Amino acid sequence: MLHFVYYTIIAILYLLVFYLMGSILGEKYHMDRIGLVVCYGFLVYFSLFQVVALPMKLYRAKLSTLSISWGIIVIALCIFSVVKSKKNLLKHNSNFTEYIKNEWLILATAIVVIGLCAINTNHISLWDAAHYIGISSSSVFSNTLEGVSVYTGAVAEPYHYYILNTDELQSAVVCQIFHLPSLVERKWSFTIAMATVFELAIYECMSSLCKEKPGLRQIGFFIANLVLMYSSIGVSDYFAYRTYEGKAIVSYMYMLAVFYFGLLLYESKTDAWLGMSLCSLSGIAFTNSALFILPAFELIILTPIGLYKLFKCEWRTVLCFICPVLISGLWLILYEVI
Amino acid sequence: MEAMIWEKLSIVYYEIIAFTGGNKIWILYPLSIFLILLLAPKKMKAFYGAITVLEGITIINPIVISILVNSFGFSTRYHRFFWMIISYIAVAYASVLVMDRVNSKVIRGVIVLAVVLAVVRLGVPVYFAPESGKPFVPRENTQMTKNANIELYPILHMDEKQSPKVVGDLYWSMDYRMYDASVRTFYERTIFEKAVKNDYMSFMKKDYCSDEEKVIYAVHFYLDFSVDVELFKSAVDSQDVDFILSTADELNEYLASCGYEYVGMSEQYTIWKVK
Repeated sequence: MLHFVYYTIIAILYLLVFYLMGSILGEKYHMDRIGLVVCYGFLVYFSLFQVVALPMKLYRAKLSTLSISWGIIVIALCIFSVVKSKKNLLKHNSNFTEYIKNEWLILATAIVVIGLCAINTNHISLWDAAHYIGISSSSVFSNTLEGVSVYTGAVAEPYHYYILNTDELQSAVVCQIFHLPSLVERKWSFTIAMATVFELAIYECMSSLCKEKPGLRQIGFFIANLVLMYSSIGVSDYFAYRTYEGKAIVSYMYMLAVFYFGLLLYESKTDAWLGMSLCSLSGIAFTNSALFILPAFELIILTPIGLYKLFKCEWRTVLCFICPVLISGLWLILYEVI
Repeated sequence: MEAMIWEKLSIVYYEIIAFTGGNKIWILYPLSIFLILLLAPKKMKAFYGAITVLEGITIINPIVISILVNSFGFSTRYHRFFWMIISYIAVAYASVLVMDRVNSKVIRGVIVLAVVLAVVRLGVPVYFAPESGKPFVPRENTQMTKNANIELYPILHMDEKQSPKVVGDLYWSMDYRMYDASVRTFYERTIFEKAVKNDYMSFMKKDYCSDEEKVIYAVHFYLDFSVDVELFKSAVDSQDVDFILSTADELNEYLASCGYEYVGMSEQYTIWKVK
């Protein structure tokens, strides 16, 4: 039982780190909304990790080197965040009890959904689970960055097809630092963290759509989750059964994130381009599908509003809108070159 | 021309069916888009309108699908483009827009009830739906793995060797190594897949693996017990195997005749110690 308390603390630690990393960004990006801070923090965390881990993976560094480097970076950024955003952190903390009283339906729905995801251990596809979790457990045992075969444990080169993906190494780093089994880190701690971030993203979406009507926001949140949990197959299955898998994270989290940042752009909050750019920068850490899905969705959202801004000669805004697609293009070029 | 159009449209239809699994809840999505375009504020109408039109002329466009599937090899992955359809937000937003038009709490309650009933009646739940073929499997232990794997661990590490090598089928090794990556296993994925696709004679004729590995495949995978015991033992020694997992009684007899030691059972596996 004590073990599970520890594993749950790791899940809370994930969320805390995401929150602190999101707080580093100025208020013009996250608008001082807790859900948006955490979502931005998730994107910042994995964007930075991708930038740090990928060169180390290509140069076959040891896992312990990556763990030490990443640990130092995260601690430094968290301290910086606490010092920079002390007032905001205190303000969010004091609002929390009022929030629990007023948004009970949202909390109850989120707890049920997150709980079901965490308790379920059926991963449907053994092949995919063996890949995602196997890379982490094999890397931790061998202290390499994907330096052993997931299937046999023999020494092997990282599989070239997945060369740009680093999410499994992030799991290995956390497992090495905190002495966690990979299965538990993925299926409990990270699942709880991801499900929470996703629920926060749905909450922020409904907040934007429902404006100053908290009653409607609660009902909207509940209905969104109900539809999600009754849409067996597709994205819903990925979320429900494979919450921690890279492919699943892009399908439910990144698609919603790009959609939400697009929504903010259409509401004239043009700084949301940073959120989309972070999606492009970090999405490839999870799956190669991000190479085509993310830029396609970004183009669908950005083209009409980009053309409108171009027509109004808002050049700076147009340049900002090009960033997310440019980043995806760079990843595609890098994938072909490596 | 007409036949070509129907062929292209049928590609779209099958891609949508592959993505939705025929789940009738997806009927709510176009209905929601209609309500949003009717009732939403101007900016949201622009947002949803733009996305719907562009998705319609790209990802649901039969010509685009044909090009991507035939020219760029997206055949098994095309339906991933449908991840862009954020249906749950659309349905929730449409419901909220309809409720916002009425002031009466009673009528709002009726609308919520109608939406909930529609979702529950049309949809298939992701959890606890036997017809979906995906059982909800609560954790058996704190390690988030099967109890059988936990029982197997002390047996495989009985000699305190850092990385014992085990001959057990690939499905077992994929599952077990997520829990205990210290164990090395015999079956490598690409060769195993060749063995699954080829019959015994075809596999033995080809150069998928070394001669020693073929001997182990012959006995353990193809269950050919005519293989000379000494030949098999020599192949096992050359591969540095410590344990063999068996699921067949005849294989158990064969392994016993090799002089291997029976050390235990776990779920459906009998465990034999080689050295």
